[in-house]
Amino acid sequence: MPRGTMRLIIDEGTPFFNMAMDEAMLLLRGINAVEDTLRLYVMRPSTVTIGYFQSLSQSVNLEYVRERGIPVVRRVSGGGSVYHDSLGEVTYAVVLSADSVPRDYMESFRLICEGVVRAARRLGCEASFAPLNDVVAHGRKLSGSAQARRLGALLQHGTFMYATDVDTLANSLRVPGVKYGGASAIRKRVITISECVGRCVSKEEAIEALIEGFSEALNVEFVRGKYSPAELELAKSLEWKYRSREWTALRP
Amino acid sequence: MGVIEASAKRKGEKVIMIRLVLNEKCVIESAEALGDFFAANPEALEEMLRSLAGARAASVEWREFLKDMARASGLYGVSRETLDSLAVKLAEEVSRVCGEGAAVE
Repeated sequence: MPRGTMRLIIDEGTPFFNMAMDEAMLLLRGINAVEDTLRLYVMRPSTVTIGYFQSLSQSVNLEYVRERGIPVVRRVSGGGSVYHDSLGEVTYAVVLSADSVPRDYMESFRLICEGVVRAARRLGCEASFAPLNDVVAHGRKLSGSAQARRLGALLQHGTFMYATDVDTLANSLRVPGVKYGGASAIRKRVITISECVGRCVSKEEAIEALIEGFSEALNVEFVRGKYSPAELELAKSLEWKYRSREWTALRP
Repeated sequence: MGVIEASAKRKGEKVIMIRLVLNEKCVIESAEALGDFFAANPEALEEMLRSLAGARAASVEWREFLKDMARASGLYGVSRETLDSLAVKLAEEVSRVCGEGAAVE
């Protein structure tokens, strides 16, 4: 028996809007102005996001992304740099009251990442949670997640790489701990759902699997909803921050 | 004087780096934490790092400072052992750059 219903929003948009909306939902959830929500979205165009505490130049291959016109946006959440492929990745964002998730950080990641694990398994990919914040298959990273907490609310957003161009991913990012081998070392550490199951998985299949996976993991039934006027207004004002050079280069 | 950086990471954890900008007297002008770690209260972390400005780098008890910073900000993804290791590396860097007598006026 599902413990209740939860709002579901499926969307696509610029990275600036998407990051602004994730933060707006987090802030408004903290004052009970919006309900618990799962948001699934595609970044258009393909984008690199970096964690709140990361150095821009140390986490992104700036020359590569500039040459290809790939925007870089700093997130409100911690964690590492991420490549969001507009043609091969769906980003999920779960916004919940912090009361409804375990206080232990790893357990809160485990709970929400279980939605990704179940989605991957529904598509035939034997995935598992890898603490602190990854989902892996065949020992390679399939999904990474990041959290931010404000005012008693929690935002966890992360990737679902159903057919990501892994070469572009590997060339765009600089990953701490990968000192040698650069892009080829990153390439070997990553896997997509399509590679895992040996066939081309579509965006529609990925979205359907995520909805079912999160429904099982969070024990909820999803109800398609839309943004409230307050969310749209707050996201619109926050979008300026995400578009600004000052924010992106907050830690050069 | 320049910039001092020290970082630490253990397997399965996140990277944390502390960067200090020092003046010619080894007084901290600014400090920042970099990495892919998480903090429940990032503003508290930044506030604590700002509070280092004006302190002599060699007089900071790094182990205690990092412990307090982690507690105040709800730092996660980095263990206590990693922070202790970071404190040792920071103290060594400060000693190397500022000299053994840096703690003495």
